[in-house]
Amino acid sequence: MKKALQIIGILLVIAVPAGIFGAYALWNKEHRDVASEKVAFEMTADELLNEFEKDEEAANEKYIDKAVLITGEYLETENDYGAVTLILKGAACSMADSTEISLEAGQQVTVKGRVTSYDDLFGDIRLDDCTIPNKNK
Amino acid sequence: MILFRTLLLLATVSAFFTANAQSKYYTRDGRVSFFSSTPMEDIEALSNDASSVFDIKTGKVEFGVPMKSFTFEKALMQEHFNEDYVESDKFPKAKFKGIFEFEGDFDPAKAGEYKVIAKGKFTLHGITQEITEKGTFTVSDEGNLFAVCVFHVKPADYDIEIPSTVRDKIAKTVEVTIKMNYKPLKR
Repeated sequence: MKKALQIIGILLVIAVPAGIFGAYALWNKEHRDVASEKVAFEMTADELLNEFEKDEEAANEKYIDKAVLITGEYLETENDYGAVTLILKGAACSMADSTEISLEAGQQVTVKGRVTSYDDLFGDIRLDDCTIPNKNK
Repeated sequence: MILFRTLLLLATVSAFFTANAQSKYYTRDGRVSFFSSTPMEDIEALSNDASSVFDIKTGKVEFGVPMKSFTFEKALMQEHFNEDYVESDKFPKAKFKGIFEFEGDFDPAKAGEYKVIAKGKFTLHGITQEITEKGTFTVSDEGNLFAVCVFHVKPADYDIEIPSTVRDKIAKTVEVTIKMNYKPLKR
């Protein structure tokens, strides 16, 4: 009996801190860092948009929340409430930080980001956590 | 005569399009935040990715926000929100489609604050409910059009089930704040 209690005691000494540590690690789990992720798809903004226009549900399943690298024609930049959004033909990319980017309308740009949805109001793809990989520069 | 008719038709058509172009406003960086407060825990989330088109002439407004664009302080909360509550893989957007009814006249050329009522269909988690909420439109001295609307969403109204283990941590009613800086739609 005494031995059994001892074993339980030892197990508790190990299990409780491990449990607390595990719960703590889970609680403080890091946010995704899309910029450092490997992309799941690499394509033009038009190609991505076409897939959503063809079959939104299938495209949702395939692309939403995935890191992608898309290339498209740069149109303009919007900047509200400190959030910078690059508008490409076929995609609206919310930038991960509010650093101003100097691009010229009409130029091709490659953006890395996470697909969040098809925007039926503007008929384009919405991306979040976007960065411009070095190869543009 | 035919020429005259054609000209008249052209004039009418172009007048129609110009009127349309001028009366429509849009945003693509609408800010949506929500706040759930209980004695156990306060939870906040934010998105800057709301899209909206508003037609001053008709009052018609459409609004959409990607659920995957909400960020939480804790990655774990964000995961639970997406996977367990709003099921954003299945229902990627929350939408509103309805009208803004101004109390009194609204003049986008006159700076000031205007009270507005938003009426229409709000869709979240695949469930659509009729809502009526109060909001404010502010026309700044520079002619910018800011809309702010605070409304309350009961997760239960949208079939969002909160498991009993966390029920004390998530409010029965979540306060949602929408801020939009509308710009004239050129396209």
